[in-house]
This record gives sequence, C-alpha cells and structure tokens, in this order.
Amino acid sequence: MNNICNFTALELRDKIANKELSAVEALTAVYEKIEKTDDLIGSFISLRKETALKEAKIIDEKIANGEEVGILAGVPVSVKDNMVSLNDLTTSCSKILYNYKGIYDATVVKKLKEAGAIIIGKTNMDEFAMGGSTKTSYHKLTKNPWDTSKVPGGSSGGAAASIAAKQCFISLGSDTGGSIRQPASFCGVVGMKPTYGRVSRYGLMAFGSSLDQIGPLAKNVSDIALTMNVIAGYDDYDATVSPKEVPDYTKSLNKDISGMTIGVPKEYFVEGMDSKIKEIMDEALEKFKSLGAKIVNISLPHTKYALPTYYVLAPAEASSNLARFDGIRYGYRSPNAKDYIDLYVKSRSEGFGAEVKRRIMIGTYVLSAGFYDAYFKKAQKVRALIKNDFDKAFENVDIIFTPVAPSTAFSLDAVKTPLELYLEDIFTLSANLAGVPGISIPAGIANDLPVGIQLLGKHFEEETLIAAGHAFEKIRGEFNLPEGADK
Amino acid sequence: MNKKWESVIGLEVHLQLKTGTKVWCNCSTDYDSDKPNTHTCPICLGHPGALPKLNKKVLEYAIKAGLALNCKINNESTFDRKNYFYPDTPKNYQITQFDNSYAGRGYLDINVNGKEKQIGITKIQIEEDAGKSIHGVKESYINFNRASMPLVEIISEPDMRSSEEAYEYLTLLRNTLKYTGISDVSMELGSLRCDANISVHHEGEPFGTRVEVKNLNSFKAVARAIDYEINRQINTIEDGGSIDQETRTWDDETQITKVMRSKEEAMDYRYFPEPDLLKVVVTDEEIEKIRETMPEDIVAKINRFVNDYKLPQYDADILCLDIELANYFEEVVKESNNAKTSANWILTEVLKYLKDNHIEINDFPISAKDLGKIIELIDKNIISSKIAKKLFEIKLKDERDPETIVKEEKMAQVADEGAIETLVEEVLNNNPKLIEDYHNADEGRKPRVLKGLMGQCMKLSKGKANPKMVTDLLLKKL
Repeated sequence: MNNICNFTALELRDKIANKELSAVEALTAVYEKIEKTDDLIGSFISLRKETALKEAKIIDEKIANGEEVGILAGVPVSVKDNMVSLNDLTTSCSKILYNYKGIYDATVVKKLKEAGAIIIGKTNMDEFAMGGSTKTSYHKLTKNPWDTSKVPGGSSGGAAASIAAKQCFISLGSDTGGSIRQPASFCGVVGMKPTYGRVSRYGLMAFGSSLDQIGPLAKNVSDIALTMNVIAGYDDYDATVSPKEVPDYTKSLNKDISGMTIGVPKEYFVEGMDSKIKEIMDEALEKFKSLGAKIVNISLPHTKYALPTYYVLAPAEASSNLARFDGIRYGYRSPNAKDYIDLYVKSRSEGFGAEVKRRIMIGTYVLSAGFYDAYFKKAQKVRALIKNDFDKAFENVDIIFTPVAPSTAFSLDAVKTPLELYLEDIFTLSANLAGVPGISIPAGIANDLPVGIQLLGKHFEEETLIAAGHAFEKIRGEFNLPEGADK
Repeated sequence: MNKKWESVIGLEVHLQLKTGTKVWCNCSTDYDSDKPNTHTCPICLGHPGALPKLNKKVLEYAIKAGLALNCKINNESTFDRKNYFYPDTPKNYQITQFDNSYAGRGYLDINVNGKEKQIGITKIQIEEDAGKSIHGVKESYINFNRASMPLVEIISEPDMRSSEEAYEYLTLLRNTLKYTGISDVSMELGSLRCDANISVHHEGEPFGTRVEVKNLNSFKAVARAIDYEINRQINTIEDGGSIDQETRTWDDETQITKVMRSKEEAMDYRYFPEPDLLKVVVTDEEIEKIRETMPEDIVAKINRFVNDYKLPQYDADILCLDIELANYFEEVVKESNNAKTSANWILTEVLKYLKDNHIEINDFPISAKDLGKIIELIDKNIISSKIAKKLFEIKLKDERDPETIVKEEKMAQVADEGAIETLVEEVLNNNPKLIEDYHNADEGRKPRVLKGLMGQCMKLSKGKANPKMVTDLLLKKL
C-alpha cells in the first residue's frame, strides 16, 4: 500500500481513471498511512474518514458506469484548517474556534469537490496563519518529516508535512507572507502562491485580506499545475478575484525555457547567508543556465522596507478581520463574563493565543486615529514603491530567482524572539506586498534538510513559473521524500 | 449680553434602500414581519471566510438618491471599514464610505415662511445597516435580519438655523426621495433615520461646540430635540457654563436630551480602506442612463403644475407630495380638460375616500379616465355638480362607465325646452300663493321667493332639470 502513497497526484489520477486502482483503495491507503505516521508528524487536526469514503465510492461508481468525472477524481487532498468546509470542523487552529463547523464550502473546497477530489481532513497551522513554525497552533505541534526535532515551517506547516510524509497527494495552503513557500522549502515539497486575485478567497478565514492567497502544495510542479487548473478563476463570491480566463497550466509543463531571462536581485543575497544554502542557490542558477536561461543581476531597491511594511499592514488588516471572533455568534464564549463588554474581553483574552494577540495589538495601534498617517498610510505608500520595484524589474526579466528562507528548518525547541521569527519571512513577503505569484521548489539538501529555491513571476503569469519550475525539476532529478515517518 | 444668539444645525439622515436584496449578499430585504434571523447567510452573519460583494442595484438606487438631491456623482469611489465592537454588528466593523464617497456636494431649496433657502448636502455614502438587539430581563437577543441592509447616509452642511428649517429640509428630503421609489422613506418603519448636530454661537462669531443628538424617531422629535438643545446650550452658556462635545440621546417620554457619550469616551473607529472590495467605478454614460429612469424632480413638477395647469400653489404642493397622486391628476386632466375642477375633485372627494379607507391612490376604485369623464359631463352640462357627486358615489362600486350609468340611471339633466316648460307650469299651477307672494314682494325679497319656486322645480325633476333654463322660464312666466 505504501506504493500508492508514493504516486504523484497525476499518476494516481490516471490510475483511478484507468481503473487500475479504485478511489476507495487510494483513500484507504492514505488513511492507513496517516494512522501509522500522524501520531509522530501531527499534520492533521481533523479527519473526515466516513464522509470521504462515501465520496470515494461514488467516484468509483461513476467511473465504473463510464460517467464523466472531474480532473482530480479520486485524488485524496488535505486542506489547511483556515478554509471553511461544510459540516467539518474548521478552527484556524485557534481556541476561539475550537468547536466551529463550517456552514458552507469555501470556493476552493467547492471546486475541489466538483473536480472529484476527496478531502481527507484539515491540516495543522499557526493560529490564524500567524507564524512561521506551526508552533502557535492551539491544538498540537507538527514535526518536520525529514527530522522530527525540527519545525515543518509555517503557517501551512501541516499542509507541507502532509505532502512530505506522503499522507496525501495535494494540499491547499494559504500564503500571506510566505506561508506556503517557506514550509514547502522546509519540508522539501513544491508550493505555489498564485497571483493575488487568481484564486478565490471566499471561505478562507482572513488574516491580511490584501495579502492572503490560497495555493497548492504537492510533490512536484506537474501536480501544482493540475491543481491550479481546478482552483483558479473567477468567483461570484469574491470581489477581488480576477475574471481573467484560466489557462490550462499543464500545457506549460515541458515547455522549453531557453532564452528565458532570470533576474537575481542583489538584495536577496546578502552576507551571512548559510554557506550551504548559498551553494545550492548557485548550483540551481547553473542548472538554469544549462537550460539556456539568461541570468541577469537586478535590484529591488525597496526590499529592506518590505519587512516593516508587511508587519504594519498585515496586523492592521488582521486586527479588523479577527474582530468578528467575539463569542457572540459562534466559537468559544467565556463562561465567566458579567456583561457584554466583559464577554468580549474575556472570550477574546481566553480564546486567542499570544502571537495573535500581539498582532491584534500592533494592528489596532497602527490604525488608531493618532498613528494612522505615521504607520498605516506610510506603509501603504511604501507598498506601492515595492510593487513598483517588481513592475520595473519585470520589464527586463521573465522571472526572479531568490532563496525561500535564510535558513533550513530550525529546531522545535529553538527559542526565538518574535522579531527573529518575523525575519524568517524576509525573502517571501515582498511577493505578497506586490501581489505577484511565487513558487518554492526543492533544490538540494543542506544540514540533512531540504532547501528550496523561490521563483517569482509577473502578475497572472503562473505559467512561466510552472514552465521554469518543471524544467528545473527535470534537470535536478528525483527528490526523494523521507521514509522515516513510517517507523 | 445684547448680542443675538444664532443656532447652527446639520442633519445626518440614514435611508434604507428597498433593493430587494441586501448590500453584500442575496438575502431578502423584506424581513419586517418575518421571524428573527431568517433572512441571513454566512455573509451577513459575518461568518469566518465570508466576503462582501457589492450589489449592483444598491449602487443604482444610491445614485438615484444622489441625483434627486442634486449631488455630483463621483466616477470612482471606495469603501472603508469603520471598526467598533457591538453585538449587533456581525463583523464588528461596518463597511462604509469614508474618504471617497460615491456622491459629493448637492443641495435642496427649502421654503420657510415664504423665504427660499438653499441647504447644502456635503456628501452621500453607501453603507450597511446593523442587526437589532432585543433586551429581555436576563438575556439579550439579536436579530440579524436587518444586518447588511443597504443604507445611504446623507450628510447636510450646517446650513440650518432653526428647528423650522430643519423640519422643512427633512420634509422636502423625504418627499424628494419618496419620489424616486428607492425607499419607504418612513421614520415610523425605520427606513428613514435622523441624527442632528447642533451648536449655538453669537452672530458674527465662530461656531460653538457641536453636540450630536441621536435617537430621533419622528419629524416632531427632530424639531423638539433641536429646540430643546438650542435652549439648553444658550442657558448653559449664559449661566457661565460651557458646552461639551458629546453625543446626546433624545428621550421622547421626558422630552429632553441626555448624555450618551462624552468626547473622552468617543470611539476611535480606526477607519481604513476595505481590502475585500474593489474601487467602485461608474461612467458618465451609466449615470445618465440612471438619470433617464428617474421621475421628474418634485420642485420642477410643482412649478409645472402651477404654470401649465394654472393651479394654485397650494393645490400643486399637495398633488405633488405623492408621485402617484400627481400622475393620477394628470391622467384625469387628459380626459376632463379642466385642471382646476379636476384638482378640486381629487383634493376633496378622492383624498377623503383614501383617508377614510386607508388606501393609496393606486388602489382607488375609480380610474383617472372615469373621473375625468365625470368632470367632463359636468362641463358639458349633461349632469349637475350635485348629480356628479351621486355619480361619483355609484362609480366607487360600479364597473359601468360613467356615461352608461348616467344613461341607464336616467341621471342626465333635462334640457329640453318643452319638458322644462311643462315642469315649470306644473309648479306654478300648484303654488298660486307663491306667485302672489312673488308679485307683492319688494325687490330685496323677490329672489328668495324665486329660489323657493326654483327649488320646487328641481325637486320635481329629481335634480335633473337644467337650473339656468328653469330660472329663465320661471322669470318669463311670472
């Protein structure tokens, strides 16, 4: 049965469609794998085995009857715990939503279901996606399948671990400042943050509305392309999602990338970078050269302002987005309250974790009347400059190449200050400020842990990233996921 | 102490739009009589992950409000979040327009005691309504049916100087908006709500500290609260005190205002641009298209009624209060060709019937065409005014057209000379005493005797004889 879990989503999809394998068999293998491994890894918060099996049976019946099925028919998929699904627990890994069950399906969930994918459960994450380690989850720790003393990264740590531990084939994460790409890098899987507005956010519990984007994590770029075909596109329920037509992303696989220009921003290659990581980056660039790509040095001059800008804007939006969690309509309600103000204070004080409270405080502060101009408004202006940096750079290059994170997965026991943790996002969050798409692809091993490269593209040009990423994967060769978690 | 006090008043009016569906979702806006929380969905309940999307009809209706109030419609506008915690606010922020509203500067021309005055409108913004809290003895309940109802907030300039002006502005505002059909425009139903900003100062000096008064639930309350507040502020200052910037609430029972929030407790709403909604863009062509669907402006309509139909101002004012009534009037005139008589009939008989039966003109049983015909029948001397009233009564319950009724019920005036002569002779033969009386009477009394004879003739003809012909013949025979 382990064999089944080694397949890619595309391989599995084909085998199910060809009746070599049933959806029920695939699902059974997946749940067995989770049973064996998840006590150690901790990818999942909740599973929906019974419902999933029923759904798999229906897919098998349809295939047996020769009925048409979707392009992900029978493929087991995991979903980050901040995406609402009907009747399923959806907690954003916060105490304040410990008992919350979705009363509707997020658009991505709806689209996955319509494509025949089988949602197996919800993955662990940092509380409300705030963090880079998955350690701020209310429920539990997730461990890196490569080394269980290390973090899986975050906030989509459960999602990345679920792919790396071969507990499912596709996982949906969300990325506000790097929350798909960084854990993908730490866990040695592929993760894509699409262009802001390419995938509907309807049903994604908002963190920073103008930065959040849902995206896929998978074993390879082909599976990313396949998933993007399902989840991208217009949605009547999200005003910010683009009506632009969705291309067939799988058509960009195997595309020749010779002649493509790759920009390397000097601001991302600074002194003090782990020498092993630097080596892997250089090797990757050599590989692109050998594929006929042109490497050019570029500058994104406002890069150094990205971190402070991000940590003004994201908490500002978060402080407002999280205001709805108040103990009035759903979720956790403090039993100790005397009046309605007390009900707010106690429910929120008892329901939110430290990191979430910290960001709510920062956000409330930067939005308050006396400080709005100095912080929020200023940050918006700097954001425009950062976006402009990218627009200018993309006049001359097709993609931008950078590391994903300054380090490999750090120790679960590492004591880091909030600021040190925020620095983990330093290479990824500019893409969210600019709204451009990015992909993280495993490139090598440093200190026995995977290291990813990040490719950033022009708005709505995920196809270029898929083409470059897939070409790179081919020349890189197999990137075997760890087997350790099974023991 | 000799300096004159002047009061300064600005009004903020909230208007609920009757768009059928809510501002960010497809929930119905007709929730009034329904059970609590039946017109709700993940979006208007502020459930996690749910996002707003602007209902196009809300924008159209809001633009109509803007055009009716002579506002400039901005081609681009944006939404903001106004953050505050309250149990009936599902998201704990209200989506509103703060910096760039869809409608800018406008005005209304009011008329107080025969004097025209222009009241400026600062801006109008689109926003969402909150739910409603219901407080029991031990628990409180929240009904979210009203949550995310579409509102426009109409903010006036501080151009009003008395409660009378505020009352007139509010009345004209209501009538003008009622015209557009975008709202029920009723303070009783809660579809029109008003807050007042009031300050006092000595003429020629800078404006005083402004106090906001909330919870005004009738036009009368608005006027009374303003008068109360003006007096309170003047008295406070004259007693050596000062006015605090605060929010007060009007207590209808005691007829006074009370402190609700002081400046120190004032909310910091932490406004910021709503990231979930895109900029709203409307082209001039789209605005013009909406303008074409608008009814005639109420003031223009009144002027047209005075000029074209030669109606007295009073008649025009009343007819134009209700667009349907005004339309009905115009239909009647088309048939009757007699504007003044048509207006008279509508303002007396028709309005009385509507009031007695608690119905709107649309449900009035006599069609405009039929009422026009009745009036035409009078003008053509086919029936007398008296008979016309009878015909009107019959017509309220009768499907037949007026001419048929007149014919079948033999209601037409007798204008045949021979028939009238027979009639007159019969009366004269039966009343020799009256004839004698007439001849003996002095010039002053003669008409009265004549009137008596005349009455006999009309009675004998059951009111149908042509009165002028009867008089002429009587005089001739006497």
